[in-house]
Amino acid sequence: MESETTNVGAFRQRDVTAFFAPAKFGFITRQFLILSQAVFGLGAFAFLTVSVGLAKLFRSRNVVWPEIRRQILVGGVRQIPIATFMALALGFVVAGQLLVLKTVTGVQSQAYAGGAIVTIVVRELGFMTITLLALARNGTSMVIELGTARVRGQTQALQAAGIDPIHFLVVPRVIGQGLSVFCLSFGFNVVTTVSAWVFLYALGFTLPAIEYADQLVANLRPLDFLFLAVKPAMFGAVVGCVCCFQGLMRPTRLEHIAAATTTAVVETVVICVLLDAVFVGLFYLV
Amino acid sequence: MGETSDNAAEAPIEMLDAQIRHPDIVSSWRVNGINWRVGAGEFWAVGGLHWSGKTNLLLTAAGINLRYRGRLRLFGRELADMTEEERLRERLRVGVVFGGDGRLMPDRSIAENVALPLRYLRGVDDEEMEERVGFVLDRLGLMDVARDPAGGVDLGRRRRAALARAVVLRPEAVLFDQPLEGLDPRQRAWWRKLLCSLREGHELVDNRPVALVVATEDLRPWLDVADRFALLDEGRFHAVGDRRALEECGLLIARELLEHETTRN
Repeated sequence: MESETTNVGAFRQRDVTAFFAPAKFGFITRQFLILSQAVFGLGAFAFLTVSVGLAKLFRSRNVVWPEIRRQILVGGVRQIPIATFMALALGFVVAGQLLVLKTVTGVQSQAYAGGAIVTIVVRELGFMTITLLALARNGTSMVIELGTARVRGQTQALQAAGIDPIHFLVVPRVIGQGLSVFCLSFGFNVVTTVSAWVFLYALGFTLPAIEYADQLVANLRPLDFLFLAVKPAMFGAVVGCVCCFQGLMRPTRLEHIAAATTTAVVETVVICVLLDAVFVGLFYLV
Repeated sequence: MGETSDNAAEAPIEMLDAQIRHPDIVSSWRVNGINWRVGAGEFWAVGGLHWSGKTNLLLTAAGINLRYRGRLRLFGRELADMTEEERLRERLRVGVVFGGDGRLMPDRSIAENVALPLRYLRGVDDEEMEERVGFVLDRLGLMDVARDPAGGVDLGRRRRAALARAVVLRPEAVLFDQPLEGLDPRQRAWWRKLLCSLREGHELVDNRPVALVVATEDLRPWLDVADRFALLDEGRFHAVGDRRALEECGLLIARELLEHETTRN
């Protein structure tokens, strides 16, 4: 009897890739098969993470919950300064663009300030910026950290000590990233919205705060509030999941880690953009 | 479960007609023909050259690498027939001490590394945990580096910390992957002495005799210590027997590992 492991490494299927590699298959076919394999692997890993997370939600709380707190500290709290700076900068950019619009076309662009902020920042740029920030600052280090742990056999040592690497290493990172991106996105949107108004004033626009607030409220739909909660949390979880997958499942040698990091960045961006398109479609339909 | 736990005389590890694969490379069988019984309180030394499958053998015997074919029993129970929870419970009766740097988490302190299995599996309170971890670290001479990150201490202490992490759960069998590799003569003597006392019953494991398996590339330091020997050679497992049987077995690999001078090209 051969037992197939369900632990770390179970979803790598390099043999399949090797089989399909010969030139008898066309380039596009091969790329499609490699893509399918990546999608299947990542999907299975995400499913495993969710299953383990739910099944062991209250198990080993004294170890796993502090890990989640640590991830929130690293991935959320420590990113507040850079996120604030970027929010201020984005507020300035939006105000500057409205000034350009007014100067070039003569349109009283302050009338559209609230709409521009809601459409550009709150619905799209806000959480996308935070997601990219999380990916660049936490995701990449996650791939390297977990990849090194895997190559050096530390994950195997955890298994030997009875510790589930998915529960101990992956679940806290996915939850931590989800919560961090959610909270940072909320703060980012607030700071950008306020800073855009401040910069509008500084650039000579006359837009009373009440009127600006009215514009914001008029442009927000009930669905926005749902998406404001769901999208950033989901995107953060995608960052955590993809980076853990690439770190924990892909590298078997140290030299694989660089490639795994690049793949994690590309995969995360592609998945987030695709998910965003789905949300836009839902927003349009509902 | 209770039935097997009570039956201390069951062999901790038993492999019958087993073949094992590498956990990451699925293309070929790594070691074949494994018929091996590690009895309670026995001390085995398994010799093999580099890349002969020693670590895989240990990982499979400990129930961690599940890429095997054949029969594997832990404490008399077939691993394949167990549920995941049962398997985990039986697995935890077998400790593994990895070679090299001990595979600790380098950014955590020695004490945190040792406490991790206790906290994760047993959920013990801080007081009990500190007591148990402090006791183990003290007996292994690690108290002075308990708060230091594992990545910052020397190889010998890291390996002792790996041993501490394995025995903190009071296993009934412990498997060592090249425990003497890269250590100086004083530390090698310390390890041999400690392993002897573990076999006979050490306070670290509640004075119970523990079955030991040491995988090594050099059998000489273990000749006077181990009471059973096995060899890994070109994908085959040979459970040779006692020291005399090892010296008389006539296998080339035995000569190489005893003389530590290869005669092959």
